[in-house]
Amino acid sequence: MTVNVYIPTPFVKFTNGESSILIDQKNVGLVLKELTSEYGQLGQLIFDNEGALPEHINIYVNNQEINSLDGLETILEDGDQVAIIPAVSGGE
Amino acid sequence: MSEVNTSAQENNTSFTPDEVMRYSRHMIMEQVGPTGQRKLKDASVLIVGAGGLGSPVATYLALGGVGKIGIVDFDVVDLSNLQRQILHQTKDVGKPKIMSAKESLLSYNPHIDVVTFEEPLVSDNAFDIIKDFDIIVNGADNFATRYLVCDASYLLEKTVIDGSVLLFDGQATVYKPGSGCYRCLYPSPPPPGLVPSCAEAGVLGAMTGLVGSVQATETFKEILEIGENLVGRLVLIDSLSMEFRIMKIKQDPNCPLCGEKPTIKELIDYDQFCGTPPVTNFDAQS
Repeated sequence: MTVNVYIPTPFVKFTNGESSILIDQKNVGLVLKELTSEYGQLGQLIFDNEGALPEHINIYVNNQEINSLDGLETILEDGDQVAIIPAVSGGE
Repeated sequence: MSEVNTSAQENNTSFTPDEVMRYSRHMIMEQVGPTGQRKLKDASVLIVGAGGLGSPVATYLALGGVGKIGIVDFDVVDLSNLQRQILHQTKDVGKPKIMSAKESLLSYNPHIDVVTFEEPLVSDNAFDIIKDFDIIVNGADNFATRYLVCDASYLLEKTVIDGSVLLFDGQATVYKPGSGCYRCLYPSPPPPGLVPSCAEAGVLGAMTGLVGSVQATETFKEILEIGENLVGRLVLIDSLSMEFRIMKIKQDPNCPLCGEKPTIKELIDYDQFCGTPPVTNFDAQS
């Protein structure tokens, strides 16, 4: 299943400037595992020391947050859109 | 100047001929009309931060005739603010932001009331500042203040029009009590230093205008009680691709603030919660 992973601008410096990355995996956890094995620094951001997703980062599949689906086990279909979205605090 | 009561049946709010002309592009719209314009004049909105987001929000609310605009900010205008903060001009450098903000807003529209709070928003003053406003617009520039605005507004049953920016990206949504909160979306902040601020990483000036305009629009809709608000939806704007994404967000039944068994029933120490040093007036003056 080839899915498109959206990388927001604050994270693209960890993906060699790529904001859209195609990955062929069957669920969200495997997509993130492949992504972070390719881009190690990104892995340090989107997983905490225990290997869990931190609470200031949400993963969406086709606009739905994965905790409202099956979490990292969420099954992906060909063409699905995965987005990695961090909290940002800028307002000034 | 004589006043014109465009619809005396509903309340006593009147408009001068100048106001009728000024707001005519609003009043001719079916969704606003004189009745809606009266709602705007009777409304009160608190804007947290007179910076990148607060500037466009305050400006559009003032231009549109929101009757009472509150602004809380303890900072002074810095030259580096002028790339995006349209409430302030070169002549204002060194001046308290609330002062230049008030001057700008009243020069745009002398028919409104601008209430200023020159102090950091902290747990000790948040309830007193927020309680007198209908709607709270979050334009804070740090996580501690964002969680404080979330908690205090929820506990006072106020709607929050939320927005944030970084680099070329922005986020915006609306939180209404009973329909989720900032803690449902982001239960805890990032460790200090992990997610940079605009001061550390930068922001495209126009992005604050884009997100601020979304916040202003949602504020108008909330006051006018029209359209479909952003409750339960998070707008993500990537200006490099100019793509707008809408993510569905849900109330978390386990949320410590608005969940089924809430544990947060009063304001906490947000600097400790976020692991950041406290913001004080001294910082603004140093």
